[in-house]
Amino acid sequence: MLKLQNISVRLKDFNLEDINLEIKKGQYHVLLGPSGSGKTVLLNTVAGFHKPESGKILLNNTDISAFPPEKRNLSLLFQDLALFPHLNVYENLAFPLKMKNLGKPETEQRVDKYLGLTEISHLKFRDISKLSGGERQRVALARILVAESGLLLLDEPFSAIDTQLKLSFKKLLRKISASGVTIIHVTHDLEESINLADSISVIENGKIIQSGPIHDVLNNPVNSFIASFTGQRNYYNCSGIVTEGDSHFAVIDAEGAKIKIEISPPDNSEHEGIIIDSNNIIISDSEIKSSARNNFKAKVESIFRTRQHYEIEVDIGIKLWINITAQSFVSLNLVEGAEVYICFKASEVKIV
Amino acid sequence: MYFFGGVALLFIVAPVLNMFFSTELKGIFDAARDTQVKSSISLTLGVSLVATIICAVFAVPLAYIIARKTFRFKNILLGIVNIPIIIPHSAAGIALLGLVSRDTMVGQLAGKIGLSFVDSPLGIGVAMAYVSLPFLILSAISGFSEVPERLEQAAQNLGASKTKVFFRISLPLAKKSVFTGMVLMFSRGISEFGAVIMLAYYPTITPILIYDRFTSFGLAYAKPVAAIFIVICLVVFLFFYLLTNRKSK
Repeated sequence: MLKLQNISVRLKDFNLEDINLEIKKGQYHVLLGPSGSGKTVLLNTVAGFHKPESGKILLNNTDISAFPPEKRNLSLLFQDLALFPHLNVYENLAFPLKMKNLGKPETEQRVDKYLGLTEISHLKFRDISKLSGGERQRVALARILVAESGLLLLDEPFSAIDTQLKLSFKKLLRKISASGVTIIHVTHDLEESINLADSISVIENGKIIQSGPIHDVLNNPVNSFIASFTGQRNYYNCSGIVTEGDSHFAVIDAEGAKIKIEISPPDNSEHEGIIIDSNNIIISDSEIKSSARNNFKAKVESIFRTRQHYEIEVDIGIKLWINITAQSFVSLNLVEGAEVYICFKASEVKIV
Repeated sequence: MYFFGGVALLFIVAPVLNMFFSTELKGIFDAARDTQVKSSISLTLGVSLVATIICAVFAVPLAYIIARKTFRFKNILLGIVNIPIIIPHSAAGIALLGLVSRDTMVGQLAGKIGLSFVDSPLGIGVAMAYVSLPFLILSAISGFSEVPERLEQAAQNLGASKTKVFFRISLPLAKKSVFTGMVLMFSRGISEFGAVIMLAYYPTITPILIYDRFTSFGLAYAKPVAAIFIVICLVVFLFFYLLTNRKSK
């Protein structure tokens, strides 16, 4: 469907470097990255508003790199929606069809279809200025759907709507995606990505750092940026790996000391750091003997309640985050400052 | 504060009010029936209107380019647009005469197709347009600058060519400023004296007729024509002002 081959873009104060990406027909792909990472620039480049210095953009095997925006046949939902204020809802939706010189009956039929799909038929002749935030979002989405381009580019589509509307909008996007439309969705929100994406690319400083099926990227981050950005809090730079007998240890520089974490035998490639999954660390109020190779005495630094669980920050020379259920939290009677024991298996330590 | 502001306001209003109170009603009615006065008023309004419409065809695209594009020497271009406002209008008239009089290349070319810039409605229109065009261009630039570029990009993404973007998005959204600019240009055109007198003393537009009556017959004869013309200018301006505001709603 869409292939980006070695795309580089030079702007006044920002560059996109050697972007390679392939998105298959019907795929829901999320471009995840912090503000200023180049997500929107990449989307605008695909849409034709920035000219790549090098590389190719192939849409259905046609090189569209030199096409003007109006000839690219893809639809972009701008972050600020860009609804035409001098046209009403119907006229906004009919705009792309008028540009294609579609007849009036067909235009009306197509507009009605997408007003129905986005559940805003009752707003058909309303002025844009009289719409609420959620309604405007739906009108903007309906307007790009009506063109039936087959490829939707969504730039931070949830940035201007509240939590409740987000949920219904997510459902709508899933429905559209299930109908076979290819979607590229730009966001800085990990939860959005997990909710919607089939595949994901993480972008930082104008470069795609990792790309692949969502669970692969979340479970196997290739570097510290992705680890932290995808919610892995226990990421530590590793100053070296030492072997003592049959055991292998990652050495972590703590303040004034070195902490050794036992790991599975590493391969020979370069290692930047380690990740210890917050869900796979056991916390106890007394020392326990187990098969786990990493055992530490720790002090509870802070406790945070979230919707799903409790997050406990403990100090073992380095700060470590542990997720436990509400039941475990109550039975352990944890308080800040308490002394606890923690353990985790060497095989639970990911080397990245 | 109020006192100083009041003085400034009085300075604007006093001469106009004084003229109305010191001019006999009979004189005004006589002047209103005077054929020369009537034809000069219709000539003034007509030529300024036509000049404004023709200029809009060229000035609006220029304003759009200046508002939208980034290029070297853009400020110099803006300075050039302002030249007719900065220079004395009589000097502007002389400069125009030097370009289009019968013994110049432009004048001779025009003569070959039966046109003359001197002592003709064409000359009046050229002089009016020259001094009043910046008002239209500047107002249109400000209008186009206020149209978010994002809307034009959205229209392009939805399949509109650049020409269609201009006519369906940019121009409709900037129309109030463009129309205001046209009203300003028209109003400035009908009150022009200095540039027009250099190119076309005849046929006589109203500002020249007022001057002519004053120098030939004195203040008492010039006043009724001036009073009528001021009322017409105010009515025309009010009409367009109301029309602009109604359009924007």
